[in-house]
Amino acid sequence: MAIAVNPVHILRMLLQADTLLSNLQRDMRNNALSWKAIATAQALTVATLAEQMNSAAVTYQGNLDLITTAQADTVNWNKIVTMWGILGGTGADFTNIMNTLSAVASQLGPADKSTYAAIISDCDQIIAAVNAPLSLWPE
Amino acid sequence: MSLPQNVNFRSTLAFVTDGANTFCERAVGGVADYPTVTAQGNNVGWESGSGFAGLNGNAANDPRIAGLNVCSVGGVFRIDLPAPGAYPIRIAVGDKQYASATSLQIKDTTTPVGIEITGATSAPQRFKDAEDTELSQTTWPSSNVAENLTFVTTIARFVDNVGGSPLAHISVGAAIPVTTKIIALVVARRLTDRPGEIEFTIEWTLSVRGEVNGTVSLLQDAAFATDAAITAALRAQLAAYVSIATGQSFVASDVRGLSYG
Repeated sequence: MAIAVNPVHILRMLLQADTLLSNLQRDMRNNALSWKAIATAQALTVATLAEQMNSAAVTYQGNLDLITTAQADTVNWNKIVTMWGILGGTGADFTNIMNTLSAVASQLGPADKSTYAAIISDCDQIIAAVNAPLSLWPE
Repeated sequence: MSLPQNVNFRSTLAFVTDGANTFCERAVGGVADYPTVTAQGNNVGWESGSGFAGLNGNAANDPRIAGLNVCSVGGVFRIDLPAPGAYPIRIAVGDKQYASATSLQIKDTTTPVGIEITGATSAPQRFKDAEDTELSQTTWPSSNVAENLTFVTTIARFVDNVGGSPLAHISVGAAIPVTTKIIALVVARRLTDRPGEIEFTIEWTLSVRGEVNGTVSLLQDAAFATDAAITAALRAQLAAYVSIATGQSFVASDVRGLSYG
C-alpha cells in the first residue's frame, strides 16, 4: 500500500526547493566570476568557454524547471507554501528568486559569446544581477 | 552539459591551481550540496550522507590529488551525465598523510557498474585509480587508468558505503563516440542443386555500442571454395566486428548460435 503524502514529505520538498534555489543563486554568480576570470586570462578558447556557458544555461533552466514542475502540482505545492508560511514566508518568496534566476538563465543562452570581451560583458551583467545568497560560511 | 568534468576534492580553493574543466568540491559547511552547477554546466555535488569534510593535503602533489573529501559515515557524490552512454571515468582515492581504508562504488543511478575501490592503501601518498590499482603521488598523475563505463541512465553516483574513504579526484571524460553497428551473422549455404551458387540468410543481428575495431571487408570468392573456408571467413568477419574498443571483446567461437547451414 502506498504511503500517503504527509508533512514529512512536504518538508523534504521544501528543503529541496530551498537547496536548489540557494545553490543556483550561488552557482550563477560563482560561475560568472569563474568565466570572467578565464576570459580575462584567456585560459580557454572562446569557443570552449561559450560551450560551457551555453551548457550551464541549459542546466540552470533545467533546475528551475524542477521548481516549476513542483508548482504545477498545486495540491502539494499549496502544502509546501502553507508549511513555508508557518516559518514566516509566502509563495511569492520562491517566485521572487525564480524571476531573477530565470531571466539570467534565459538570457545567457542567446547572449553574445563571440569574443572574450563579449563574454566578460555577459559575466558582468550576471554578477550585477545575482548577488551571493546569505550564508554562514564563504561560498 | 559539457564534458570533460573534473572534480578535485579539498578544502581551500586557492590551495592549488586546478587544471581546466575542473570543479573544486570543498564540502563547504559539511552539508550535502547537490545540485551544484559547475562552470562547465554540470549538476554535481554531495547528494546524501553526513559528516562531510574537505581537507587540504599536499600542495606539491598534482592538483588532482592535492586534497580530499571524506564522509565520516559514508556518502554519495553525484554527477549528472548529459545522456546515457559510455564515459571514461578516472578516480583517485587516497590520502597524503595516512594509509587509508578505501571504499568507493560507482553506480548507474542505483545499479553498480562494475568497478569498486576496496581495501586499504599501503602508505601515505598512495592513491587508488579506477582499476583499484595503488599508485604513488608521483605515478598516479601519469599512470592512472580510466575505466570506460556504460550508463543507461544519466545519474553517476560515487558511493562510499562504509565511510572514511578519502576521495581526491573524479573525472568524467567526454562520451565515447557511439557507433551502433548491426552485426549480422550470415548463414551461407552452398546449394547442392546449383553448384557454384551460395545462398545467404541473416540468422540474427547484434547491436554494438562503442567504437568497433576493424573494418568490413567483402568476402572474396575464393573464401567460398569449401564449407570450412566459408565458416572460417564468417567467424573472422564476426570477430573483427565484435572486438570493441572499450575493452569488451569476445571471439566468434564464443558466440552461441553461430552456425553454418
